[in-house]
Amino acid sequence: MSFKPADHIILKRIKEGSREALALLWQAHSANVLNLAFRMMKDRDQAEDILMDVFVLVPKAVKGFRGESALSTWLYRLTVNACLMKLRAQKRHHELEEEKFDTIIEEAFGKSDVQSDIGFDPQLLTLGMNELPAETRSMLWLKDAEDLSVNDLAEIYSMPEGTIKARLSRARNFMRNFLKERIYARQQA
Amino acid sequence: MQDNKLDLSGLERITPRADSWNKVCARLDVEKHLEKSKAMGAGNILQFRMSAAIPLAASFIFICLYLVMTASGQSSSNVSMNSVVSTELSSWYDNLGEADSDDYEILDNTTTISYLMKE
Repeated sequence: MSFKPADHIILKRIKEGSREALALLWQAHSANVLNLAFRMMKDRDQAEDILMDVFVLVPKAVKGFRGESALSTWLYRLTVNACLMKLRAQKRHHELEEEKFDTIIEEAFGKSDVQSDIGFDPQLLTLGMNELPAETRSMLWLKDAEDLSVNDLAEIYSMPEGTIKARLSRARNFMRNFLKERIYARQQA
Repeated sequence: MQDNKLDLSGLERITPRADSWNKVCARLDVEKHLEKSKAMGAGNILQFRMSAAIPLAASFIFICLYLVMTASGQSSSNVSMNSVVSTELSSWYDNLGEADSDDYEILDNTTTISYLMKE
């Protein structure tokens, strides 16, 4: 994802302290930032908090942004970092919550009468995604749902492209196996 | 890589809440206000420091001057004492009781002479 001329103008105006430019950035990217945060945090309220934290941070952080990557890539990086910081801060608490959350979904899922094409069932996909570590989950989301390139991901996560590819491959394999197992279990039941 | 992609289109996509942008603006305003008051507070502290430095420096100079004056006063009194005590006087004190005729005789003689002269 390359740096667009419009990005350059928005960036310049934000650096000058323009609220309108920040509003334009919000209009263009807030939904993407929110969805990435939602995938990482697995919680709507926390995702909203992250979204607001990121946009409050932008006017300050933009001073250190040299414009070498696209604004969206830079925003994703801010979002991932904000999420990881929050997750680390509440790690213990979060892990407990995760277990509880998965149990609740599993119980609900077992009782409900879902469609036969389980592979695309959002609940099952969410369940599978939630099994992945937060960082890998966000990588998979950005690559497969937001269509970012491996190069962009390497910039966002400050990792070599090879590492990103390996992680994505492992995550997809895990997801496929997870979905297969669930479908098989469902068919047996 | 493209073929390996998982179809995540079924996953829920959420949109920011209607009031989120207003909350961001409110937080930015608060931050701006805080920064402003912080800068003003820093200015006040700086002013206070500047105004406090003047009497502090004056006190320091006063103490220094006092010490210098005291030291010079002490040394000058020593000098004056030494200069006042003449060698003649000190030798008179040293020779007290060692001479064959004491000074009372001399005193007595001179007093007698002056008395006789008057007579």
